[in-house]
Parts: sequence; structure tokens; C-alpha cells
Amino acid sequence: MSTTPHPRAQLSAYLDGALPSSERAAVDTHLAGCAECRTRLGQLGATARLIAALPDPRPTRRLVPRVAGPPAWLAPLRTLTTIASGVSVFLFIATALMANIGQLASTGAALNAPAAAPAASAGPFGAAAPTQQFAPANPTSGPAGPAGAGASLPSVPPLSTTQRSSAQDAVKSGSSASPSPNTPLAETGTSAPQDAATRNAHAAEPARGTPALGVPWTWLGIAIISGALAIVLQRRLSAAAR
Amino acid sequence: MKSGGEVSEQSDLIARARRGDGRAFEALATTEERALYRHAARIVGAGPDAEDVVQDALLSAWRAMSSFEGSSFRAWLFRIVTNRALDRIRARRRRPELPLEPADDDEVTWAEPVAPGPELVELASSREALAVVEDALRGVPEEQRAALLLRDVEGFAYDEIAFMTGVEVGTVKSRIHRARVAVRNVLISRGWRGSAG
Repeated sequence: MSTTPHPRAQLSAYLDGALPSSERAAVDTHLAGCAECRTRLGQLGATARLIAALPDPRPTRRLVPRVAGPPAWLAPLRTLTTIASGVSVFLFIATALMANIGQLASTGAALNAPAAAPAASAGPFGAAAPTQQFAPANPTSGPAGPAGAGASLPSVPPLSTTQRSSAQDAVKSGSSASPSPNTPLAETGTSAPQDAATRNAHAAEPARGTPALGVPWTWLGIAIISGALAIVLQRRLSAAAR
Repeated sequence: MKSGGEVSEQSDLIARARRGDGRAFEALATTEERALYRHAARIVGAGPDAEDVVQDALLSAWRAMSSFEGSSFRAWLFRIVTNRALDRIRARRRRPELPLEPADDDEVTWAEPVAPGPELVELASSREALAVVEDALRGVPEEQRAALLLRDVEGFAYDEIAFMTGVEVGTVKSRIHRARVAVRNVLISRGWRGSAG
């Protein structure tokens, strides 16, 4: 049995190694002869170990405040995505309108087609047919022009003298160079359907959904994506500003 | 234990954070985030209050970063969180703090075993024992509890805890002892006999 008083108040500090060496030595001496204090010291040590073994509660959210400023590229990127969103919306509307107008034009032309000249018939298939018809006619009408002009001259009796003389002049001065009255007709006759066909082909493109500016839904998709990106970047920026 | 590389990396981050590098501060705070939360949660209770305490403490730490000159960044963070958590409890109680510390540590009551119970090893391994400890800690006055947690969970030395809580080392020693005996008493009252081990 130890004769010194129980150093109970020192046991925790002893356990934690927080006692000055002289006090520590005194506790050591007491513990060597006191089973009761050894038991209490053991209980305190076990208690400390239990406290250290407690499971960690976890936070449900991030607790570190965002104090870092936004990266230098964030603000320009936000502006860029905002502009991209606006431009995409514009292009979406533009392409959608063009597609609808193209459809309306082709529908309207198709309705008028029976009444119109064959050259005015719309649509890719309607336009292709006259081109093929007139294209082979072109080389034949070209060489046939001067010959036809020479042959037709005598067979135009009702011409006045001035008209006749000018016609004769024309034959005289340039049977080789000056075109016959038929030639311009033939040429305009062939070139007009070609132009119409080209125009119709252009007009038909939006109706088929592949205009030069792309499909409207693509632009709508880009507008939504860049808009969402702009919102995310804006939130990131304002979070950093707080 | 931290390696030399980690220590120099941390002091580099501290130097950068002091110069206003928010990213460096976030990196430093993130390494202590969970420990700070568990500390706050055991003082004010787990939940939004403890989360607010840590978030507010970290924000004020960032604002005071340029004036940080101590050697231990971790102790500095725990000091701010501990004080915020204690403030939160006092505000919640809405009554003035009462002096809860008896004059003499020798007057601390040691409960005696009431009935034969399971041995320490058996209880320590069970989830029940930890639940009893958590329950017991809630009954310990918050200043004592904070000091005990800083010692037993976070591993701070007595003089560090004295600096963090703004009291004398003797007060820290007393608080830790009282808190530990109080938890031990609850365990004993639940049939825990403990052992010399």
C-alpha cells in the first residue's frame, strides 16, 4: 500500500504526458503501490481510446468557402457563350423561316404549274425536264440560225422597203456575224428555262431540309447548349464574387 | 505523421494564402474540412448548425489570413472553429454562461461500478459502447467537452489547447480531466467495469 494521497486529479495529465517531470515521478511512485489508481488510470486511458474511436460525422455539403477568384478566361468565355447562344437563336429562326418559305414557294409554284409555261414548272424534277429538252436543241439551233435566216428572207413578202433594205443589209453585211431573227429567239428560249431551272433548284433546297445555313434544329441545339453553358459560367462567376 | 515534403508543401501553401491566393487557402482548408466539421458537430450537434459554424469560421479565417503568424495553421483553424461553436451554443441557450468548474479537481466525483458488466475489450469493440460515449459527451459542459475533443480526437497538446481556448494550461488540464472522468462515470453507470489495460 502506498502512503501518499491518491493523485487522482493528476491521472489524466499523467496519461497525456502533460505533467512536469517531478510530478510525473511522484505519480509513478504512487501507481507502483496503488492498484486502485492503476485501475482508474486504465479506465481513463480506455475512455480516451473510445472517444478517439468515435465514428466521424460527415457534412452534407462542401464547407470550404470559394474564396479563389475566377480564372481569367471565365468572364470572356461567359460573354462568348452568351453571344453564341444569341447568334444560334437567330440562325435557328432564320433557317426555320427559310425552310418554311421554301416549302411555301415550292407548294405555290407546284399549284400554278399546270397553268404556267413548262419552263416555269417548279421542283427539281419539273425543272430538270425542260433543261434536258432544250439543251440538245441549242447546238442545232445555233448553226441553223444563219441558214434559216438566209432561207427565210425571200419568204417574207409583207416587209416594207426600209425593212427589206435593212434586212438585205443585214444579210449583206453579216451573214456570218449578225444573228438571224430566229437566233436570239432560240437563244432566249433555251436560256430562260435554264435560269428557271437553276432558280427552282435553289428554291427547292430549303424545302429538302439542307439549306446553306444548316438544319434549324442544329442551331436550336447549339443555342440551348451555349445558353446553358453561359448560365453555368455566370453562376460560377457570381459565386466567386461573393 | 507528416513527411518533410508535406510540411514544406503546406508552408508554401500558407505563404501563398497569406499573399491572397484563394486557391492555396482552399487547398489548406479542404485538408481539415472533415476534422473541423466533426469537432464542431460534437460541440453543437451534427447538422446545419455545425456546418454553418465551420463555413463561417473558414470564411473569417480567410479574411484574417494575412494576419496569421502562428506556427500551426491547423491549431489556428481549430481555435476559430472551437470559439465559433461555443458562441453558437451560448447563443442557443440565451442565458449567461455559468461557472461550471469546481474549485478543486480532487472534488471530482468518481462513480463506482454498480453491477457486474462486460469487460472493457468486449464493450470497446461494440457499437453500443461508442453510442454510450457519444451520449456521455453530450452531457459534459461544452468548454470541458471542447478541450477533451481537442486532446483525445485531434491530438493537440495541452499548451496548444490553452492557446486555442484562451485559458491557462492549468484550466485545460482541469477541463480535460473532468470531462474524461464524466464520460468514464457514464460508462461505469451503464455496467462498464473497465480494466487496468
